[in-house]
Amino acid sequence: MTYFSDADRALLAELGDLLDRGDPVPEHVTAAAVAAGELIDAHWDWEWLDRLADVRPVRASGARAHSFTGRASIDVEATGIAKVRLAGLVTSAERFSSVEVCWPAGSTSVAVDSCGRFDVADLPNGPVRLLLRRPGLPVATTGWFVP
Amino acid sequence: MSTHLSVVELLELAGNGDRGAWRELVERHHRLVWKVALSHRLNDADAADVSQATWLILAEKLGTIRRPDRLAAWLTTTARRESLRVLAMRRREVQPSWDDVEPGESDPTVPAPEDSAVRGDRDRLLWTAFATLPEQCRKVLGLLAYEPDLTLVEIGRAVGLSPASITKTRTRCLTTLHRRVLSLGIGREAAG
Repeated sequence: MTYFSDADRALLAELGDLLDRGDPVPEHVTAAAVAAGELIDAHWDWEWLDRLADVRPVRASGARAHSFTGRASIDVEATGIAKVRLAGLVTSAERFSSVEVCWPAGSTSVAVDSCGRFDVADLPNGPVRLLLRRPGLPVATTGWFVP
Repeated sequence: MSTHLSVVELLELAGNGDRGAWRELVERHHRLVWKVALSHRLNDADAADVSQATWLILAEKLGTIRRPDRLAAWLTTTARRESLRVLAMRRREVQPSWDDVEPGESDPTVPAPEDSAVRGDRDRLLWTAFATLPEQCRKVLGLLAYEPDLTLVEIGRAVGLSPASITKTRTRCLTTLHRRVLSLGIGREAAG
């Protein structure tokens, strides 16, 4: 625990109140936080793909790289800010014919070619997750990440 | 409603599908998450992404939080990690600023409070004292203002300072804020 005198605590409380009024959290940010609650315990049986540390530098092309691994591996590069494009590679012993890209308000399914490549454009900005589905197997998914 | 419940109780209720409990958790902590993102100099759009990602991760990891009593620390750490990822992607560098800003100098990174937020002389005085602190102080005090019980290590992690530095920084920042509030107040009384 941190230690503060009563005067410190009073000043910090006063400052918190003032910051709250002077620099409030935008309403849409709070609304998105509340909406996230809809996902609680919704996917307890999914298999998670772990995110690899962001070791790869951003490439000169401006693409942002993300890598996930587990039952399958997904390497993905994102470009664009307002409208995001994801191009990636699925590596797995199992054959996946599609990747599902989910964002908080929707999702889209994109085909994976025979070499494991996929490419999807015009995604809304904000957090996304990637899902791999195959009949008879649990869904494999990445956690939410900002692409 | 759920306002009298502890964070531990709220987490348990939220995990059992109580949407009111989740809203109360958001109400208690959304300022902290937002402040952590902003303290990394993210723009509003990126800070909004970080905030949303943090709450989505919490929703899905709710059952696996090891120390529910330390939720504020968990949120701080998660928001920090997501902020750093976004920062790295945006190819910006966090430049810690240790240069003191002299009292009276305005700092363009400090938002001006909305007029409606400043309710009187005391508010104006406190805002001026806070806005003229060095950036690192504003980050540290901004987090402490919402979560005074964060440990020094947790605050240090959130703002990128070692435990040794954060101890000195916290004490120095609080002392400076107290002193500036006092001196500004005395100055105004003298002028008035």
